[in-house]
Amino acid sequence: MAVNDILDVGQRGLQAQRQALTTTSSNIANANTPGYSRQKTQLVNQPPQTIHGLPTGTGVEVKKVIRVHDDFVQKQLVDESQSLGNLKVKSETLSRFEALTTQEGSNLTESLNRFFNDFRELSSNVENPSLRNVVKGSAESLVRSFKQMNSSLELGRRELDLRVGDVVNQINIDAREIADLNNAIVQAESRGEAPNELMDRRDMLVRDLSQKVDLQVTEDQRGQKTIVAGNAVLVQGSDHFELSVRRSAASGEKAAGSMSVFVNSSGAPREITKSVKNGELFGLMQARDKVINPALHHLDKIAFSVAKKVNEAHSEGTALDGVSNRKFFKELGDSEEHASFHFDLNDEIKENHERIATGLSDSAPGDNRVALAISEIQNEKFLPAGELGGTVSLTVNESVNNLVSQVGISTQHETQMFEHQKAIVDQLENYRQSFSGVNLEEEALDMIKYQTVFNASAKAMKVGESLLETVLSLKD
Amino acid sequence: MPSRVSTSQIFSNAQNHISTAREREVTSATKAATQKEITRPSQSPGQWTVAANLKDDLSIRETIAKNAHFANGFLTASDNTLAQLQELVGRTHVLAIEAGGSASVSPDQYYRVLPEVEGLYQNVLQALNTEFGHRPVFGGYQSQHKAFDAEGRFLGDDGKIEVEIDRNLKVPVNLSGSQIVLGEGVQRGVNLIETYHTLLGGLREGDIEQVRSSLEGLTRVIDQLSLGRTQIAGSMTEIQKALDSHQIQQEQGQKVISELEDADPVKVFSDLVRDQTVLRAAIETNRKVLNEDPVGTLLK
Repeated sequence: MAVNDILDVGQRGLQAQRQALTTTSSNIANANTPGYSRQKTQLVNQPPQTIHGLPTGTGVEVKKVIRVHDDFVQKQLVDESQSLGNLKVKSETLSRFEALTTQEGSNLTESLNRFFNDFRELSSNVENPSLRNVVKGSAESLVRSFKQMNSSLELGRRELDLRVGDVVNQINIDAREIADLNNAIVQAESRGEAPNELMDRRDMLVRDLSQKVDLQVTEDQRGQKTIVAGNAVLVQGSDHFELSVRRSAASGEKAAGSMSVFVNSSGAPREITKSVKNGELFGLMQARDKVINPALHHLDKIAFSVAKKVNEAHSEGTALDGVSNRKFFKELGDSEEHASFHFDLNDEIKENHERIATGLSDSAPGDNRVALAISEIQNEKFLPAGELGGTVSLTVNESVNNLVSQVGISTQHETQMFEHQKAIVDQLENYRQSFSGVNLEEEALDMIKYQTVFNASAKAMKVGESLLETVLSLKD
Repeated sequence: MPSRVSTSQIFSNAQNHISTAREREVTSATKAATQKEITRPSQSPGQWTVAANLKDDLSIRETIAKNAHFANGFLTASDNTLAQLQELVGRTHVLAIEAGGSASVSPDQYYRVLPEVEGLYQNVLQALNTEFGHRPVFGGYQSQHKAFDAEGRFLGDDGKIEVEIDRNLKVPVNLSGSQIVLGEGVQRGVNLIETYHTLLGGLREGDIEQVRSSLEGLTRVIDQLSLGRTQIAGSMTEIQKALDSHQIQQEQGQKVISELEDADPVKVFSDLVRDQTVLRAAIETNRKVLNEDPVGTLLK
């Protein structure tokens, strides 16, 4: 063995340890980087040479730098994150919505109580003009409460539609970046590089994307991911296909003008709303179509029924101006749709409270039968119990309370489901972190380990150099 | 096999522990501040709905009870008037017996009795126009003017004013003048005004037969007024029952609402103390864990 070989082996040792130290430094630097998988420098000994019939070591070399990664956990995280995204968005939306409906519902209940109680009070003193004025005031307050609750629900629906659009935009951004990463990874690998960081970034994007929409992820032989969301291909190789949202006609529980999701693949955009079954996108549309829309229909039904019942009783009576067959609230037509929005007091009564009919007969100012009949509407069970179904009917107050409690039930259910799902995903993420995350103590020890060998390799080179010098000095 | 712990796990675990402990502390603090166990329907939708329905019931009952008190007042005024009428008619009856009881009554005696009977008649007319809350108690639905004019003509109608005294329970609060005074619709009913007119006519004309013919009428009027008072007593009993029921419902309802919604103060404050202790422990523990610097020690 030549003395030079000692220097070569030492040099290779220095290079290998330096590479390992670089990897360790990179791990330390990325200890807090989301999605980063720690990397390991794989060192292998060089094939030995046979010198004078003896096998002689030739040092060390870096085989590759690998990322410590578990594909199975990644797949599980992608699967479970879809439900997490769906439940998270539903739970958050419903919690906010619950606070709103509880507040608005309590205002509405209060207004209903005030309206019917004022009619009740008027029924025992129909000649009192100030009580008529009070009834008119409480009717106006009831109108405001219906409109406010309608407006809050409509606002909630519009906000959810906007968020559907936002999530679709984020999906497009993620899909575009994943397609770009697919391309970059293939190119890096073709150059013989290890695109660990690119793969980490892509894995993280896929996990993020899976929170937004349900995905099926497959990987081809070249390592490129194909992503299918619903029944639409989002990413294939270095290509991505954008999603878009459009307002569409009513269908099922979806109200007219609500956002639907389309994929812009070849040809005309194709609707994929119904094939989206999980993730934030699904959660937002579900909260909109399964909670807010039914609540709006429920509110419309209450408004429509109250107006109809009160109008029926009121039109039978005669007001102080001698006019009978006058509606108390504005007519809402035959359809319950938007009844809570159009719910309003009759203009004639708005102008003059003497136009409120309290009795059946004319020229009988003490007749209180109509006022009494209107106040008794509050005790009547004429509204369907919604999900209770069957022959169960509810009073108007019970129906409003039922509306609020239905939202409460949904919120409770979705929150519990979310917490359960979060625990699953947290556990998986914990496992991923435990497996792939950087541990600074490990890295510190590695650093000492590689530094020690680096120093030793340098020392070996120094010895080699000294040997060489000794050999060279023989000439003198 | 002990599981590997990454550095970011240590930090995220610390964050989770502290935020969970903080969340629990805030929940307990909210309960302690509001003294409410349930502040949102989702905490217990069933309990929340029962409490909300009970609150509505109590609100309705409050107004119904107010109306029942009004009805009670109206009926009391009517009853007092009928009692007064009974006295007036009773006194009239005594005078009529005095005047028509013997064939040897002189015209002087008639003239002596006449002014008092005339006065009693005026008192009767005045009583018949008794108002409660600016509303004549015997006028039916005709509430804007007196029930009887100076000539004793009935100006009201048969309107039956009903008041809701309990949920789905109404009682009539007025007796119609046509029934109680004119005797219409009453078995063997007598017209009080006409009876007085007969008596007064007899006294003015000195017609003993006419005076005597009013005697039975006066007796029957007293019975008629008693019948009215019996009806009033029946309604007032019902109202009293309803008011008692409201009182019980209010107390029970409030109790149930409190049981459903209110927090147990002892539990709330012990929970708060526990959660604050847990939070302090979580912060302290994580401070110790995070303050350790094995890397610094290793690389020293």
